[in-house]
Amino acid sequence: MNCKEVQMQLLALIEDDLPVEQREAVEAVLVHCSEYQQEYLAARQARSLLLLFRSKPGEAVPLPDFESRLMELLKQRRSDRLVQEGFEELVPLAGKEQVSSEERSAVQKKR
Amino acid sequence: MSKNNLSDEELVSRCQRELPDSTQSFEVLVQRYKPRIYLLVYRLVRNVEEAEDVTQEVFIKLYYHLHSLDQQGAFTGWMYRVAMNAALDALERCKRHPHPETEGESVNALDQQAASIPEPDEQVISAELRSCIQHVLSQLKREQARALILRDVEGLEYKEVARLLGTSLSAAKMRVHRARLAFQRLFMQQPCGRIYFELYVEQEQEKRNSYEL
Repeated sequence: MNCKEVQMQLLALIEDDLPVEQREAVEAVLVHCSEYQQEYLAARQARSLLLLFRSKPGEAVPLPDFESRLMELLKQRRSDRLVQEGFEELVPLAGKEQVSSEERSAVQKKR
Repeated sequence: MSKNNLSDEELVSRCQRELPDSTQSFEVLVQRYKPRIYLLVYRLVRNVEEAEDVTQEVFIKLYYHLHSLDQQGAFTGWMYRVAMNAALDALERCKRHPHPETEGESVNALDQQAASIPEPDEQVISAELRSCIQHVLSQLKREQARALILRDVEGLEYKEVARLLGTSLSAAKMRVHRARLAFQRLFMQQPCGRIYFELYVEQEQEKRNSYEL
């Protein structure tokens, strides 16, 4: 096995995904491939840290119950938007003393 | 046919037709994915209230942007991307305004933790080290952070990682590997990273010596 072949096995080695014999063979060659050895050490430590960062297997994380609140919020936002849109349509008519029936029906149609 | 039995694609398609007049299909999607999204976010931010807010924010974004999703089959990948970005944004915010309960913890916590680096099955981690990892994740390029989160934090198979990232299997593996190297480079630039690394190398050396004996 040479360094190039070791590189092909690096990911599996980092993730402890090689049978014992194969792992030993790769490790034996790896010590002579300084570039890949550095890469192995760095990537393996990153993985160890991130595994540590994961929650404990079986850790109970309480699930929040926010569906009804979320739906209420979305409904509220929608009705706010409709009111806002209606308001924006009425603003141009606000200064007029008399609003014609055509103008009124145009706004109603839009809504 | 109950809406609960519909595929994601069918639900997304119904949402695109029905929202905002009816939210029934959207509610089924929320029920289906809330646990996964919440756990993903919680694992990253480690704060119940923050995780709840971020998860809610994710579903609000989905609600407003579902209509622009072209390929319905890409829904889960898109949803995960939205969730991971929202969680990483939250980590950046937390770094600027730390939570009161973690703010006062001393660096000694790291020393105590790192003095005896636990095996993965012990899964113990100090607040300081956790904060350091959170900071590094939030500073990584988003595509790298996403690859790491899916593989090493979520623990998904590469096949699933590739599907969610929308890449080939070999590209997903390569991305994860490069992301680990980038993570490590950034981690080593943090003061806590350097302390931890020295102890890690020491411990690895001890392990190697014990194999040789």
